[in-house]
This record gives sequence, structure tokens and C-alpha cells, in this order.
Amino acid sequence: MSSLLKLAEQMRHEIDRSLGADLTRSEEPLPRHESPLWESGERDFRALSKGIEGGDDRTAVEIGCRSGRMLRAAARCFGRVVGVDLSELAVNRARAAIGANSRVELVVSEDLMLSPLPDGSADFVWSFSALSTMPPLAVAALLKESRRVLKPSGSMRMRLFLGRDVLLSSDGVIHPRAYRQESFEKAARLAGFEVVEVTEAMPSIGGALSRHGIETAAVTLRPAGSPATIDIVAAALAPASNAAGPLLPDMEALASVDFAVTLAGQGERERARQILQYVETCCRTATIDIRDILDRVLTRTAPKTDPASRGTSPLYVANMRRLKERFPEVHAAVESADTTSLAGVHVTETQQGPAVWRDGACLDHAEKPQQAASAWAARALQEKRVGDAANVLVVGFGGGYHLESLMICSGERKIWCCEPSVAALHAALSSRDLTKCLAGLEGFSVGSPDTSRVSGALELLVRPQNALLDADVVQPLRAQLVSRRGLSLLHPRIAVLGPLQGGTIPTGFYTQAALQRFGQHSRGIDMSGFNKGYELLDDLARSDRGRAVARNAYVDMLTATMLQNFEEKPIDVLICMAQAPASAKFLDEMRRRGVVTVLWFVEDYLRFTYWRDMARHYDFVFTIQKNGCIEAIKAAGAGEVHYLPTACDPFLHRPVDLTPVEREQWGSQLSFVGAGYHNRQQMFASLAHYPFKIWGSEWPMCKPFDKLVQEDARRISPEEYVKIFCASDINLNLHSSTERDGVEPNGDFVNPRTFELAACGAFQLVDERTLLAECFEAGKEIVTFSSLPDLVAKVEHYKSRPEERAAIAAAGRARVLRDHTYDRRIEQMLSVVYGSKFQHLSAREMESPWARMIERSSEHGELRGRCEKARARGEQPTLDALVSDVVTGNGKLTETEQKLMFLFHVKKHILRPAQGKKEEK
Amino acid sequence: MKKRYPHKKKVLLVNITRLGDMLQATPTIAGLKAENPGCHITVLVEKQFVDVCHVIPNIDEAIGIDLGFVCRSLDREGDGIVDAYEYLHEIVERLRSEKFDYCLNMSSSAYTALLLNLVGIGRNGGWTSDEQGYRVIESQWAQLFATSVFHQNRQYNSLNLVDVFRCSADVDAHPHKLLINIEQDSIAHCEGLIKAAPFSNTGPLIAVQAGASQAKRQWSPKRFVEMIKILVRDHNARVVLTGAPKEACIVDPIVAGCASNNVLSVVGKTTVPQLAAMLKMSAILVTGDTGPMHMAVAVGTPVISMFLASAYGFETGPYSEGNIVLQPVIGCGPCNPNKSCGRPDCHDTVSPEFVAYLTAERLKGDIKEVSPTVADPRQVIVYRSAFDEHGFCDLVPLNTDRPDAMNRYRRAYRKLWLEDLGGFHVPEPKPQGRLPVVDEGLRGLEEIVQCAKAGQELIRRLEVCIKNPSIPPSELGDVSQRLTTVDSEIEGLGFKHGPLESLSRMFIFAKENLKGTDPLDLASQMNRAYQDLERRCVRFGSFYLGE
Repeated sequence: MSSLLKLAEQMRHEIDRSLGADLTRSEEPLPRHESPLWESGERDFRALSKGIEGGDDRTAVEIGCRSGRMLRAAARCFGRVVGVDLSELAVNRARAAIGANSRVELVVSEDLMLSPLPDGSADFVWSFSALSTMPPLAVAALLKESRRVLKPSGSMRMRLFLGRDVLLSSDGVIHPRAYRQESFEKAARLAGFEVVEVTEAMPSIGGALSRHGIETAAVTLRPAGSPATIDIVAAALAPASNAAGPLLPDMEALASVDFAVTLAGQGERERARQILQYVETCCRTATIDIRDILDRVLTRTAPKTDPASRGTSPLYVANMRRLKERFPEVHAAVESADTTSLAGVHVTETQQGPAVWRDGACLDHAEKPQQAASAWAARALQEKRVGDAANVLVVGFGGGYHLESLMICSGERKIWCCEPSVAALHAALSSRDLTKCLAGLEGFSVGSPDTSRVSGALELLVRPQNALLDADVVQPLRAQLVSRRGLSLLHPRIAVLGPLQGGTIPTGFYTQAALQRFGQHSRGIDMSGFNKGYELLDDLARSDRGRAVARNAYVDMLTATMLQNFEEKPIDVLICMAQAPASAKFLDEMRRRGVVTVLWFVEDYLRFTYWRDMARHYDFVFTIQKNGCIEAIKAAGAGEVHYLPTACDPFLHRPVDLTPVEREQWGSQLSFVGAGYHNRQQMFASLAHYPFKIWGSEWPMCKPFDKLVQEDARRISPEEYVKIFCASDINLNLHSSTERDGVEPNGDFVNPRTFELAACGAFQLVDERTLLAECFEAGKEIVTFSSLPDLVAKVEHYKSRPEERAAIAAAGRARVLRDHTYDRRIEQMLSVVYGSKFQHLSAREMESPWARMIERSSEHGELRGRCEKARARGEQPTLDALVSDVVTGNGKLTETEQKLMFLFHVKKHILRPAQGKKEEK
Repeated sequence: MKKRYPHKKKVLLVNITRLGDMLQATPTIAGLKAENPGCHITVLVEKQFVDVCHVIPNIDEAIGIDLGFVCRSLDREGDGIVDAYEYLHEIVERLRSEKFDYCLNMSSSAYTALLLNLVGIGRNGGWTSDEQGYRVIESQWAQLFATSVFHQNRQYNSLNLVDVFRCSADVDAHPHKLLINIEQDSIAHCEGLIKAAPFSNTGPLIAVQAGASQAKRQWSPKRFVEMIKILVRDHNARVVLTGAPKEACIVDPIVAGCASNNVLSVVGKTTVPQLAAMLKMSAILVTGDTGPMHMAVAVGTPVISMFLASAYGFETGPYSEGNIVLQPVIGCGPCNPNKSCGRPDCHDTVSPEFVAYLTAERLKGDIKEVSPTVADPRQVIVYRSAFDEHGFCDLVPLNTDRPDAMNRYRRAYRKLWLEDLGGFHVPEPKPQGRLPVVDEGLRGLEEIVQCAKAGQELIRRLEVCIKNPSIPPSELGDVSQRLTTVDSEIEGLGFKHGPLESLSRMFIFAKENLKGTDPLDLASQMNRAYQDLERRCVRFGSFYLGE
């Protein structure tokens, strides 16, 4: 028997034992009706398969499907789902649980091979927890098998524990284990994969691992290259030392607890208790309170109460009466909720009162709701931001315990609440007396929050359960609040990376300028100077392949330089403009460093499709198109995708006074500024009989354009086109198309020129766009045309009506200044980014060198103040930054300033020369 | 000598950076002790030199400042800055707690000036800073030091910096040499080294310090080899090569090149006190301008010293009687210490044979004359160190009467500063009748005098404006503007006429160091600066012509 078969046999034995033999697991299959198990399967599959394209013609394979809890969810996304497990017992149980489902196939693997699956037949292979518990040899075998069955375009994703090597106990082979990330990545590469990304996965076994430096990670792999032998792959996974660390007891215990919790979720209360007692007896660990977990698990599995049955109870009636008095809109929402909407919610009894559950999550503490609520409130108020706020908005009503606790210790602070789920609120109202709680609330809403009535500083407190369950509510709310606070709470260091070439270059400048006006610590990285070298590559590499290789190498050189730059001047947020030279490797490295990656994709997503490969490397993508664009980019794996049209920069795009000579030079009855795309050439040729000037590059110089195109079709600078806009009677604005003649019939996005023309107070005729109506009121603020005849008719109409033109231009300018400036866009962008990444960015800020300096200098008030000021100016945490205003300042120096100047001179006269000498050597 | 602060009780000497500087401070320290009986002297030195201070006489306490820690912390940036800041805070508090009544900052660095303002010592002899962070140099001797170290003025200076510092601290009585204590243990250690050496010669023990502080000051190892071979071969000499461990890369090739039992390297085998003992046991030291040169002087061993590249014998030459200083005559020397040199031609002016000859001659006894045929004064001037009648160290040329083109200026300035700053009697120059504007060498002097007079006239108008409130402010503004113009012209004339720049620079320092806020008092101080300038110009011209 081969070693692999032996190992498979041993593993199978252990799996079977864990499923029943040793732990007296019931032979009953999982219930087919909806249960927390299926819900958790749905939730976990959704999380694990994020960004993976499904489809009826696509195949997904689960390694280690056990009882099949994720297979049903997978079958909703994929046409064919294959669940593979070593254990026949497990497969039988899964088969029984799932029942007849034409999309699901179950396979027993005798030998750790995926034999029934032919080569290149699967689009997606996943493993939720099986691979993380297998020994390295088995993992290596299955990685190699997965590589075999995957299509070249397919991908594999698995949940693993990464951080440092942790071995298992000497008896048995199935135990959770952690790997060093570099070990696992090396093994994956040896198995013929490219590591696409490693992200944080939803942890299922708590923070004990984090305390040991181990995180639950979702690792995504893509086929690339040929696999090595299983032994070589396994060797890369094997830890350097076989010494079992102190983490071992935790790992075993936590895995068992995880299993017990799952059982409890299935209603197998007694077996959960047995496992936990086994853990308590057999696993020696100091970091887990097994008794506490046991109590909680038992409470979770206590008999449930149907909230709908309480709908007419005196408690409910009294609560509703009070609700109507205080918050009639919420009362109406609860009243109008139909009973079907109450599904997924139930209430369990605890010694401290009822606890509300929703979608498998307990909205209160499952056993000690009052005690936990007090602790939560105390912790929340210790946070400075909350302590300083006049208003606190709590997302999540739960059973109301935490609100009551917060009210007790909040003093004058006003408490607002939003409960996203009517059903959960209904359950709470049916369960306990909430009249006092409702009386103490300043405001209350159900569904989405209403902060319009809040005056003064408002802070957000989101219950952890609601952060997971109600991300759709919480994220926009965070964004709204961040915006409301004037973006002043966060001070991330932002870099705006511009493209090498193209029309997006100025947009990068405008973005950077707006960020600065917002007081953000931003710096623009203008890459356009490198374009010359990029273009010169074409002279050296003539073939397409050679050119591609050279260009990639050039971009790699640029990104390596940028990485070095960011090493020296770290950033927290990277905003890439469309076509910025940011490779996948570069972006992944930035994300590995904790940098939030943002792409402002100010391109037509149908024409420029590189987002397909790049989207998944961005945490945020902002687009100038909606619907299909957003969905497609989301499906390509981008973290969040939002609509954000371009805009104007009123500091540049503004009416300018021109001399008669300038008017003569730049002006015309009809003008157009832009490149000579096909549809423009086709349409404008018909306007040659008008006094018409065309400015911009890439125009033919044949008739009739030889008379229309100005100054040898050179590129026009922004300052110049502002003059053209202001000097011309009618500015034409035709969105480009490389395929269509004239007006693009389904054109959606609005080009920057539209906003810039309006900001200049210039009159324009712009082709119709589906998204234009959201930006301007046609006929009043802007005039559109749908075809060449329509354009000609409107030119004829407006050419002799300067007053009408002026009125429309003035209205357009007013609108654009109100709604469509880069300041406004950046505010929207940052609201989204900061709202979503508030905690991440706050944490980075807390860990930043400035934060450490500020903390360390707490005994030196003035020094601390200087650090805070320098940080606020966006300076790097250097001595030069601290003395920058001392050097140039006048008047008496404080003692702190003198001390800093002392250090400055030591640095200048001793340290720097010494460093110089070292470098010379 | 004129004294600013005759009585001192608790003195802080700031002498942070080099061993040589510490030794050069010893006459000042000894003088302070002698003239202020019972006074307590603390030196602030870089931490690594604290131990050295124990072998320097008259120091009561040494406080070390760990600039290495400060630099390492600053190099980390971030919270390293806080570490450095807190360390500085401790040092400042420590120094404040000592309640010094006088401080002589022997360093010209901006950071020590800031440090002293932070410590807040009322009376200062050297550089400090004011509350705005600008440098303050109260003592005119210290101003002269600052003037003399301006690179373009160095060649016109003939006052040894030991004397300039000494005068900055008002010290008259001094031992006319540098000082260091030699411990018996150190002597025993060195005797052991010599005893263990396989010397076959029985002649004099000659110490050679081959390493130099800068590459361009480094006489080549090849030349040292040639010189040592002559001494070993022709003079029965035993040669000891000294140096710090990092100088092994210079010394080892010399030892190898000599290939002689009579050449011993003690590089890295001696501590500072042991090096002093070794030099004490040696009959002579051949060296550049180095720390061991000052140490040899301190232990009374004569030196043959080569002042190559940026080194300038008048400035930092051996501070005792009877040492030999070789100063190349070359258009670019002494060069700027902050610039590197790719072609140190000045090294060629000193041959190994000549150094060996001088060494052998000095071993026989004090050298009072060197024939110009042996040492061409157009290539190199051979000086002998000596003290003048006022107790100031000087260099006397041995191979010529007319050393170089700058000599006349050096002599004139020497007399001027001794008379003007020191209050010493200097013999009247021969009467010249009127200011010698015709002399090429004094071109620009008359213009500076006119500026100084114009300045005094403007100050008189300024005083009138200040005293009489009815005069419109515009008049005051006009006077002030014209004073600025005059000052700027004086500074410009100094730049234009190099030999006069020391005069204009001293004037600028005087203006920079006006004290107080009372307008009339400030005007009076300014008037004094113009008067000083005029007087010094006239006296300088007279001394120059009298040479």
C-alpha cells in the first residue's frame, strides 16, 4: 500500500470516528428544511466564493465536503457541483441531507485523488476547512490534483490558518494546523499555481488564534506552470521544526469547539455537550474558557420561541403603544410588516431574559445578555471618539439590553438607534418590556437610519452582529458619517498615481488638488514624464511580443521604484487613475502592506477591458458608468464598486476675460476640442460650411479638415482649451466612439469635457447620454442633440441667440459648481473609502510612527503638539518635519524648539556627513 | 591682559568632539585653576572621551554626552526623535543642576551654542545662542576665533588657537605647553612592548604617527617607508609606529615595506594613556597635524610635524617650544578642510629624505636654522615653534627671512590683535604720516575707514532721532536704511580685498552681538563697533607698513 493510500486510510478512519464512532454522533442525516447549518453553509460559501464567476455551464468542486452544508449554496451558483470526501459515511450523510439535486454530485475519494474528474474540467475548486486540517502530504496531493482538474482559466480558493508553522499532536493526523504564508505560497507555486491573493477570511474560531499571531486566510490560486512531485510540494509545507508549540492545545480545543458549535447549531445539544466535556477533559489549554463556551452552546440550543406567536401578548401591546407615542414611523413599519417577513428570527430564553436571534446569529449575548450589554457599553464609552460625542447612533436594537446599559452610563449624551430588521425588532417587542428603553432613545428608525435630525457630533456604534448581517446598511452609514464629520477624523497618507499618457493625466492632477483642498495628506505621483521612455521601447522592440515584454519590464521597473518610494514615504491609500502603471504584483504588494487600493476607472469599461484582470486587486473601483459596468467589475473581484462620474476643477475651469486678439485667436462660431475619433470625423465633416475650428490631435489633414483643424493638430493644454471654450459661441461636445457614426445611441457616461465646458460658463451642444440627465437638466442647464440633423438644427437655432446661450450656460455653470466639482467627487470617494475602511485606517493611524511619537511625547506637551501639527500637515514623521516651521520662523524660540534645533544641527553636522562617508565607502 | 570676567567659581568647558581639542584646552584649564583658586572645572565631552579626561590635569569633573546615541536615535526618525529629545532633556537638566557661573564653549558648532542657551549660563567666553536661536559670540577673542576659521581668513592668522581659546577665557597665566598625566602602569605596559620587540638597533626610539584625520592630509605610506628606512639604516634608530586600530590599513603596509626588525607597530595595542607613555619614552615623534602630535607636546617629546593640505601650522601647530613645523608653500594651501583633493601636490614639497634629515638633526638638539639649500623656501617653510614676549605661541621660520606673501599680513594682524584685544604693549610702528593708501597690499583699507566714519556720523544722526520724538519716523527709517547700506559696503569690501576681511568680519560679529533693547544703548554699541573698525584699520595699516 502506498504511503498516500495509508495516509488516506488513516484520515478516513479519523473522520469517521469524529463523525460518529467516538463521539456518539447520531446517524441521522441533516434535516432538509432550512436550518442554521444550511444558513451558515450559504453564508460561508458566499464569503469564500466572492468574486468567482458562476454560471450554469460552470463546474465547482469542494474538497472535503463532509455533510455537504455548502453544496446547496454552491448549486445555486454553478451548473455542476461535485462534493468530494474521503469518508463514505460523510458522503452518505451529505447525500441524505441534500436529497435529489440534479446539480450536485458526491464522490468518495479513496486515495486523496480527484479521480472521477477529468483533466481541465473544473472552473472552481474550494475547500472551507478540510485542507486546513490535513497533513502536508495530503494537502500536497490535493493541491496537485486540483491543478490537474482545473481549467486554465479556473481558480482555487481555500480557507487556511496562516501565520507560523504549528504542528499537531503526535496521535492522529486530522487536526487544524497553520502554515507560514511564504511556505504555503511556495508549495502552491510548486503545485503549479500562481498565488492570486491572500485575504482575511471570516474567522470561525475566535480571537485566540490572533493572539498567537495566526489569522484565518482565504487563499486564491490560479493555474500557472507545471506541478512538481507531491513529495516536493509536501516538503515545502513541512515546518522546519517538529516541536509542538504552546499553541497546540488551543488549536485542538478550538477545532473541537468549532465542531461542537456546529453540532449545537444543528440541534444536537447533547453531543455538543459531550464534545465540550471531552475538550475540557482532554485538552490542556489556559486560553479558552470551555465552561463558558459550554454554557453558551447549551443556551443557544435551548428551546426556541416563535416570535409571531407573541404578536398579541400584553407585553407586545404595551411596547407598541409606547413605540407609537415616541416613534410613530417605526411603529407603522412594525405594524405593516407581514408575518412572512418575520422568518429567520427567533427568541431564546436565558437566565437574564430573552435573547433575539436573526439569521443564525444572536443579536444579544446568548446566555448573559444583561451582563454582556453592560460590558459592551462600558467599553464603547471608553473609546475617545464616543466619549467626546454629543450623539451616539447605535446600529442594532437586539433585545435592547445594550441600549439600556448605554443610557445608564451615557450622561447627557443622546442615544439614537437604527434596527435594520423589522423582524428582529418585532421579536424584541414581543419578548420583553422595552418601554423604558424606548423612552430613553432620542431617535429611532427601522430599516435604514435617519440622521437628518441629529445636531452636534455624532458617533456610530455598530453591534458586531449587525456589522456582519447588515453590511449594506452599515457601510453607507459609515460613509455618510465620515462625510458628515468633514473627513477630519482620519489622516491617512494618500498617493494619487497618474497614468503614463492619455486624457486621464489632468484628472489625476484635479484629484490631487481636490484632496489637498480637503486637507488630506496627499501627494500626486505624475508618471507622464516616463512616457517618453515607454514610447521609445517601440523603437527597440518591433514585434508585438517583444513590445509587450519590454513594456511589462518597463512597468515593473516603475512599480519597483514606486514600491521603494512608498517604503521611504509610506502611504495608507493609493488612488490609481485609469491606466496608471500599477501591475497586479504591485497592487498585491501594496495591499500586503495594508494599503487600501482604489481605482478611479474614468474609462468606458466596454472599450478598455483591462479591469477584468485588475479589478480584483483593488479594494475600491469607482466607475463613470452604472449597472452593467458595476456588476461586471464586482464580478471580476473588486472589493467595492461605486459610480463616480468625472467633474470640473473650478479653479482652472472658469470664465476668463480675453482680449480681442485672444478672442480672434481662440474663438469661433463653432468650436470643438478633442481627439479625432471616427464618429467625430464622420459628423464634423458635415459642419465644414460653418465658421468652425477644431482643436486637438489625431485629426486627418485632408479636406475638409485641412481648413478646420487648428495648429497642425497639436495637443491643447487645459489652460488653452479654457480660452477656446470662453471665446467660442457654440462649443460642440461629441463623446468619442471608435465604432459608430455620429452619436453613440446607447452612450451612457458623461465625459469630463461636459463639466469643464459648463464650469467655464461656455455654451455647449452635447450628444445625448443616458447618465447626463442625472447631472444636468436638459434644455435648461445644457442642450443636447441626438443626431446630425438635430445638431444642425440646434446650431442654427442658437447661433443667433446669444442671450439664450448665455442663460443656459449660466444655469449650467451654477449646476456644475454645486454638484460636479472634483471637490464634491473626492468627498464622495473618501466618504465611501473611509466609511468602509474606517477601522482599518484608524488602526493604521494608531500604529503609525506619528501615533507612536505622539504617545511617547505625552510628557512633553509642546513636542506632542508639534507632532500633531506636523502630522496634520501631512508631513513624514521626521525631524525635518518637526522643525520645518522653526527654521523659517521668527521671534523667540521656545525651549522645545531650541532642543529640536539642537537635534537638527546634530543631524546636519554629524549624522549626515557620517552617512555620506559610509555611502562613499 | 584685558579680562571680561576675572573671577570664576564654577566653570563649564564645552569641548565635545576630539582628543586633540581636549589636549589643546589644557593650558586654558591650568590657567583657570591658577588664576581662580578653588574654582571647580567641569568639562562636557563626547562620552567616549570621558575616560581620557581622567589623565588630564585640573579637571574636577567630566560629563559625557552620547552623541552616538543621539545620532542613532535620529537615524531611526519616528519615535527615535523622542528618544533623542528625552536624552537631550536629561543632559540639559543635568547641566542646569550644576549652576555654572561661567562657560567657555571651545566648539564652534551650532548645536553646542543652542545647548548652552538652554542651560542658561550667565557668563560665556565662547559661542552660545540667543533666545531666537541666533549665534552669540560675546568675547572678542572668540569673535577672532570665528573670524580666523573663516577659510579665506586662515592664512592671515598667526595666533595659535590654544591662545585664542585661552584669551577667550581670560587666562593669562599658563604653562606654555599642553598637559597630560602619565600613569606608571602605562609606562610599564609600553616598556613591555619595547622589551618584547626584536630591535637590533640600539639608537633612539623614534615614534611615527602615520595616520591622518583626512585622506588628503595623509602623507603616503611609501614616503613613510623611505623615511623610516633612512632613520633605521643611517641613524641606528628604533621606530615605533603608533595609531588607532582603524589606522592599521595605513601602518601595516609601512611595516611590511620597511621589512626591518627595527620597526614595530603598536597600532591598536595602546590606550590613550599608554600612547602618551609611549610618546614620552620616544625621543621624537614624526607626524602630521594629529592628536598624537598634541599628546607628544603634552609629554614633552619634540615633534617633526608636516602640515599638509588643509592643516595650518600657525593655527593648530605644536604648542610648546622647539618643535618643527613643515608648511608647504603652494597656492592652494592651506586648503578648505571641507573639500576633498584628488591631487595633493603639497605632499611633493616634503621629501622623505628631508624629514629624515630634520628628525636626525632634532635628535641632536634644538634646531635654530635650516639652510635654504636643504629646504627650498619656495617649496616648504620650516618653522620652529616658540613663545613670544607675551606668552603667545608663534612659528619662527628657519630656512628663510621672508617666508611667504602672507607673512606681512600675519605679523600685522598679530600685533593688532595683541594690542587691541589683549591690551598688550606692542612697539609703535614707524610713523607713516598719513594712511598709506598707496600701498598695493592695503588696497581697500581707506574705503573701509571712510565707511566706518560714515557709520559713526549716521549713528550720531540716529541718536538725535531717538532722543527727539518730533523728528518724523521716516527720518529714522532713512538713517537705519543708510546704516544697512554702509554695513553691507563694509562686508563687500572685505570680500573684495581678501587680506582685509578679518577686519570687516570682526566688525560684522560685533554688530551681530549687540546686546539689549534700549535704542540709545544699542546706538552706542553700534558706534563703538564703527570706532573699533576705524581704529583697527588704521593700526593694521601702520603695523603692515612697519613690517
